[in-house]
Amino acid sequence: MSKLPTPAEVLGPSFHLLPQESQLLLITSVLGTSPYWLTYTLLHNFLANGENVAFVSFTNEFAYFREGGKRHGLDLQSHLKKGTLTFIDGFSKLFLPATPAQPVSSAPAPSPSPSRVGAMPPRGGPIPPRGGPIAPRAAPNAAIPTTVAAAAATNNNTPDPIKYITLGPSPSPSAFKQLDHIIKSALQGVSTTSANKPKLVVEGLEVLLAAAGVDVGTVEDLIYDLREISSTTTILLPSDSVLIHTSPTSTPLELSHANLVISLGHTADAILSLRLLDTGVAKDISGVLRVTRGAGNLAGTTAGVVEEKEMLYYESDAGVRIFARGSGGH
Amino acid sequence: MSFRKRSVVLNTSDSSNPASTAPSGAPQSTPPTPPAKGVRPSFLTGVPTTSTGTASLDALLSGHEGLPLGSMVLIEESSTTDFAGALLRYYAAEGIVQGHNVVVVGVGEAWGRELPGLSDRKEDNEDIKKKGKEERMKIAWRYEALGNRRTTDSTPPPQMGTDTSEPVSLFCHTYDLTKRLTIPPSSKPPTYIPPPPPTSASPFSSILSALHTHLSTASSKNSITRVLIPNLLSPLFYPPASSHPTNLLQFIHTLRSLTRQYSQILTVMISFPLSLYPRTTGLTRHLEHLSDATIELHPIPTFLARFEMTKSSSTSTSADDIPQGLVKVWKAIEGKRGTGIVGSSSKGDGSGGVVGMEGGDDLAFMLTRRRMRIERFSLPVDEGDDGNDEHKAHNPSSTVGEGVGGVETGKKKMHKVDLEF
Repeated sequence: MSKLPTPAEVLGPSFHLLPQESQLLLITSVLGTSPYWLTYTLLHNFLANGENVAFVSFTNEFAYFREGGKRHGLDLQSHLKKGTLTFIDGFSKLFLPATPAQPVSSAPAPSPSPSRVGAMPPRGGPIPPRGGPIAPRAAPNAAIPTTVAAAAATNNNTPDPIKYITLGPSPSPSAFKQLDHIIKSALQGVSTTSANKPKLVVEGLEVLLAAAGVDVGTVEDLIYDLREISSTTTILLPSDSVLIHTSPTSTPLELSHANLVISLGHTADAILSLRLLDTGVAKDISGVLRVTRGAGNLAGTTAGVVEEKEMLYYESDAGVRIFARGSGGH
Repeated sequence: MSFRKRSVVLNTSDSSNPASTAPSGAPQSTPPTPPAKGVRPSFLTGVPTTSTGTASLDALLSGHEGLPLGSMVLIEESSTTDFAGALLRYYAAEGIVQGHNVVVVGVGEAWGRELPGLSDRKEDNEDIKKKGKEERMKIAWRYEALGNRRTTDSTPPPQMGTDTSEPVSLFCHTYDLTKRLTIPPSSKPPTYIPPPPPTSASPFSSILSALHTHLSTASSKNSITRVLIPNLLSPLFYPPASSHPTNLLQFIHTLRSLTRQYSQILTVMISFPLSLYPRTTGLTRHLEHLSDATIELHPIPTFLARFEMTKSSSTSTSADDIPQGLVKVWKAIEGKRGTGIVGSSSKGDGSGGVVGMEGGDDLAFMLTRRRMRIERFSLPVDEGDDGNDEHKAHNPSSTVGEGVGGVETGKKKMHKVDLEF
């Protein structure tokens, strides 16, 4: 078990300002710096304070976070069982054809193979018409509580605590409504059980933009909708310069990503950005952590102003250590 | 205490203790299944890993000393050469020799006919060992710690397998590119998934459905599967529609979810031509984000020329030691599953993945008739320098002729240093 930095270490004296009611926190990272330790720090902080957390991921499955959390002394599995954590998996089945209310058994085979294979070969050709195989659009809603994940469900009597998002192989606009609906219903399910609105953590939204072809406006709408029903929102996005710095030759892919990150940066209350050292790789430094005040955090409007700062961090087997530039890692 | 029957032997009463029997039903009574052939636990975390067929690439994987099952490696190549193809062929050949399922996507059977055969040269491995020892002798004790990482690099993991005490199974074999692999009777020939039809709106769906069928049968038999996608998006095999971000990234995203779903049997290796899709495009970056490890092979023309020269002139410098290009690790496999930690222990960082990133230790690759190696690369050192001798330094900025000369003088200098010790 390794040590995680506390939010106070990450954010300095202004940690109590973040993330507060109705605030938006943006965490950006680049290729080579993993933002997950920051996520664990936040989750740990939320869950230890007895908050409800809804975690949406589009690039990793629950087992990944479970193992990662375990290393940091964070038992996500038990929180999932208790219901304080809601995990919405937009990774495992995102582009698989929607399976109607047919519980998936513990064998890993049936879930994808009949669905994907079944959608195509019987139609007589390898070329499914765009938007064709997603006919049972209404089904997933009913299907979600009954699908049982092989890994997560230890008790067969209880429904799978993990909710899955499925867009189908060729997503259509109606599918995104579905997605909106799934996350919302999951969130509302949480908030009815307790007085507090859940804290929301969303990871991998870029997949929706890049792979599913959702336009930026729809994603932003989704975020605004979700912010309404959650207490605080944390969004993780990659911010490689390739994806952010646009030029006249940029493709729609890059433009839409830049669009999303920048517009979120302008609404966020604070931005935590992780990047590699500008001077190259060092043995005892993993990267740079920068805390930036977002446009949402105006002086006077909230309890205080987020203090901007830049620090170095080092991820090792022993945990993550944050230190000031020049103070060395030792 | 009082609930325990006095007459029963302690051991058995222990096992009939309700607390232990409840969970022990399945996991304890069944003996742990021995790992499949060609699979061994990671040196770092114990997750099962399999070999890439290239010992020095295994050593590069964040201290795992193998490719963890359930991961996807992207090999980028920024030139029109086909060094990545060699890596993929080793990976495929290793799979066939180990009796794994090998699935080749997108290219025809001709690709598979060029798999390298097993090297029968005993010296290959002894060579490496001897070299390692020599290095030890040369380096003064106080530099030994410095050289450590290097030495572990050049004595690749298969060493432990090649130790004659363990003839059972090698983790990583040595191949000879001049030979052709004869498929042993115990193994299956590779399966080929044809490239998508040229006129197709969603070109990857046929590949994915074929992969699904393969994987579901493979997982029922619990057989290790290697999926190779050589030259992804190369216009030779893939229709224009496949490079549309939605198509490609959906495919890669689904592939990634497959590696997680079949994390006990599946590894994927993709080679990707950077000359067609440079790293400055969002598409490539998304691809890199979705893969578990990204390694770029960057052949350098002057290196290549020098390599050719050395080969033809057959001077004292063996062609083995001339690099043909640089290796850059853009994204290292996570050291511990579920964390962002990329090997940071003293073993984990062995010149490999982590530090191999931008600006860190430079890595170079050399492909010879006998094998492909990835080694640390450094520029020539100045006069009066310490025992950096073993790096066989080359100056990339020098011209070809000077380069060779530089090597020679470098060697002389090295000997001088040796004498001083």
